[in-house]
Amino acid sequence: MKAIKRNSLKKLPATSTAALPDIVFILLFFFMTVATIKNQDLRVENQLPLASETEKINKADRVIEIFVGRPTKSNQVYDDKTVLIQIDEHLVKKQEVGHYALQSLHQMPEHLRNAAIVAIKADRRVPLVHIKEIKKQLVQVNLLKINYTTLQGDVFQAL
Amino acid sequence: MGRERVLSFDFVSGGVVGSVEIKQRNLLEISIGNDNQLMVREEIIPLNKLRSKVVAFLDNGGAKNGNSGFCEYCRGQASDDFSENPDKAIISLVSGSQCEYGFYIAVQNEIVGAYNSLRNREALSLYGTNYQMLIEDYNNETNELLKEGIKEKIQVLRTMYPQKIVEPETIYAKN
Repeated sequence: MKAIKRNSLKKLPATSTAALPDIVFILLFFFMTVATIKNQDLRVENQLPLASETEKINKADRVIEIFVGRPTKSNQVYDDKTVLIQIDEHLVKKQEVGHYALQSLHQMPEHLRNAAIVAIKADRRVPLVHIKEIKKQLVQVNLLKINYTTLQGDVFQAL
Repeated sequence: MGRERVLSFDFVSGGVVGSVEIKQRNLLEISIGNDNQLMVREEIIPLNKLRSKVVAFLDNGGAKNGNSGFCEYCRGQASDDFSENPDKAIISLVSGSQCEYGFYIAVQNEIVGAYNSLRNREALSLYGTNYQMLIEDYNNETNELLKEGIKEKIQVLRTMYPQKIVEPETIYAKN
């Protein structure tokens, strides 16, 4: 009895913080190894159009992205009338779209290639002629599953 | 002013040249001008009228009861101007090269929206859910057997109102 009483009177020892740096470093190293650097640097203006009747694509692994838009403010090489096309890292010419699209198709795992989808992410102010030409190029290399990426929203709001 | 006249179109598809005949009433011609104007059958209309117009066209059910191609589930006006049944209804979308991409998407959105609203209506009466919900369920379902079941339902709705949208382009003959 006596022993227990004496124990309960004693103050709790302070929690040891010696392990704290270890935990912090373990976390830090964990995120450093797991995180991948997204090295996509968007070089075109990309304000997507709004649409309400949309479907989600959950399969990001089989999507080839094509960005279309006017050059960003920081990109002074081009005047702001030109419309640029970006696939992966490259700014490509209209005639090269098919070639670069095939290149990103080949980076895909083989079993996904048949199910590849091309997502056109175009700025809403781009004249339609550019989209038409891209579609024509894609048809030529037999990439026929094309979708237009939009933001969820009311179409009348954007007009 | 019926549109019983039969139109004949030549087409090139995958290197194959062919010809197809479509009754004028079964074709809804939509065009987008370079200045973002919308024209449906030679009449300029605002974008917010498009969806109801497309629905009226698709859901018209113009074929007479007892005739082949009669549409039981259609609830339209059965007018002589619009389609005989949803299966025959074709939408043609021509767009000017200088129109804005955002406007083009908006027009596409309204056309697809018209199809969706009709499919939703039928999904509600057949399965008590809506079409977009079915699509979502299909994407999220992991059980293969259930997935097949949902797929079948979607197929039924898609055959009731099949999406037939063409984007014709003028091809210049080489002479």
